[in-house]
Amino acid sequence: MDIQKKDSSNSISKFVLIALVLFNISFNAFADGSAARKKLIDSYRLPEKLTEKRLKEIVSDLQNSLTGFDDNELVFRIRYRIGILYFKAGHIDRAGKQFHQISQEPNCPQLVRLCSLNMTGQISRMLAKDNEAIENFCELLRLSEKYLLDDNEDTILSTLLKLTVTAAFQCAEIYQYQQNYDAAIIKYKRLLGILEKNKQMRLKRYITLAKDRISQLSLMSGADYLDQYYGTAQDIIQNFPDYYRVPIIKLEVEAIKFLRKNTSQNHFPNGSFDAPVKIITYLKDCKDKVQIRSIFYVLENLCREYDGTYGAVLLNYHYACLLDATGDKEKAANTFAKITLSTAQKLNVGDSVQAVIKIIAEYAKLQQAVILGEIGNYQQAIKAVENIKMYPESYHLSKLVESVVKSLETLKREVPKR
Amino acid sequence: MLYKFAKIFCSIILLLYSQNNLLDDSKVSSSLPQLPPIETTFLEPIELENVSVWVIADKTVPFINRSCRLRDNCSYSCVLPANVYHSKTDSCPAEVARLLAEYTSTYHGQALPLTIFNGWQWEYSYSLCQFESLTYNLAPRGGCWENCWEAVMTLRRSSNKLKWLNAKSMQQFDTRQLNIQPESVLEVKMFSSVRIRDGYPKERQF
Repeated sequence: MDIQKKDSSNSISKFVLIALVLFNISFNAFADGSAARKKLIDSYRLPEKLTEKRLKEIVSDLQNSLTGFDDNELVFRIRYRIGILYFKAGHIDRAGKQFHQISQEPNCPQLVRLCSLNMTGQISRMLAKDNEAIENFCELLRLSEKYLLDDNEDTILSTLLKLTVTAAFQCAEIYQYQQNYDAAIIKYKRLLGILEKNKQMRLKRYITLAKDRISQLSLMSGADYLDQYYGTAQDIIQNFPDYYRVPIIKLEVEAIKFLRKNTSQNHFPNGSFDAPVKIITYLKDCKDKVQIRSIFYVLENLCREYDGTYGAVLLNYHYACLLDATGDKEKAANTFAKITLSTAQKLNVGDSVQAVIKIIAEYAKLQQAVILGEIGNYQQAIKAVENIKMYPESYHLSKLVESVVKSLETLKREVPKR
Repeated sequence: MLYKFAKIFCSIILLLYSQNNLLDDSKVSSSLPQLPPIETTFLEPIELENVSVWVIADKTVPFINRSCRLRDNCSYSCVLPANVYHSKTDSCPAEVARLLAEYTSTYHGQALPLTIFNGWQWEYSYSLCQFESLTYNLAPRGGCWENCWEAVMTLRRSSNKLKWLNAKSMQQFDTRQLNIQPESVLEVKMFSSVRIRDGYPKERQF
């Protein structure tokens, strides 16, 4: 009886021991996974700027939480998070290494891999390691194309699309910086292929931007690419009439044609932006009435068609310069005055465009003042100068205003008749 | 009694164990808090506005000679500054700002040296374009002279914005709006093709 009792109590104690061990294992596995998860979530609540000490603590905490559970995605998410914390703290080099390691691992979840490739590319570019940046962006593009060009894929993969757009533009900008225009054009075309298959309104602006850049790069590439320039510019004009640069593109196309015909210029290393000003220079010198009339016709029509837009500011400016060059001072002054008025309207354009408009408008007022002074209308001229707004960085303009005001006051006093 | 108690205790333990292990992945994740979206940063394509226009470059005020003698061989030289204004917000990494300077400098070739200060800032405020003007004479008794130059002003304004994207899945994301966007802005102003404006220099007899 005693022996039987002893046996049964032994087996019970063994049974209890096994049960406790199993429970302990299972409980620990579960608890550690959730603890790591909690640590990851908590790391999102940290302030943007961390002290070195705090950063070390958090990184070591996250690293320690990586063991004792079997959740592949969580492991990679924690490792990725460590990279982000390094990046935010300004340790860009360390962040880059972390993301590079993650992106190379075969069992890395796809979204984490894509984000890591993006981060490695961005960081390499910031650190001027252009070839490494291109490698990572190209890998991102290669992976994303599998999904984005797949005919069976019905859902719109917005995140993937956004990362792809970014990677393609970054690559192309690096190639342009390296003056490898062909490679840059290829990247933009590849991106256009993806964007045309995955139409999304919020990414539409990248289509026009890529096309505009293709047209400029084609022109910069030399005479052999002129047809590509004309073709892409026409494509933008016809298919994207709302693009803010369309009025300017129209003028630039006409200007390039004019310069090629009349000055035999075939190479435009700066692109087309300075073509209109070159025409005015040419017409200032040659004063050929037939040629001037043909450009007048183009400019007048464009100014009428695009009144009130960003394009109209520049078009009117060039038109006024042309009027001035041909001696029609009164009309030139009136056209410059119109630029001042048009800027008062609210234009739906980006910050850079707004800043350019402001500067152009102030120079237009000065131009107007000088012309009015030349025709003896000092009162109006002084009024125009007084309206010029100075900005802290407008050193040239402020010096000029000073001398123009002095000049006008002297003339008003000494040469009072109109 | 002890045997019964131990049996019940072990059964509870084993039941807990089996429940815990039988939970599939989805059940585990649904019972735990969702992971936040994946943060990733990206640079927007560089915004670059290129404008080239004819402007009044410099103007001399009328010099009036009120003396009885001719003043000859007066000279005047016109200096046009080339300016680079480069700024960045505090939250913008220096590397992003430097990248903008390098990219924009390619448009200026040899004309404008890329001089980097503070590891990122392109600074250039020296007078680049100095043009010798003509010499002039001032007639006696109220003779007046003035001149006006015009030039092609090339204005380039570029900006580089660093943004944050929160990726919820392959399909869903949102971009984070910050109060102060990490951004670098660069404005370059240059003058070329300086010439005397039509109708100048002016000489007037009073």
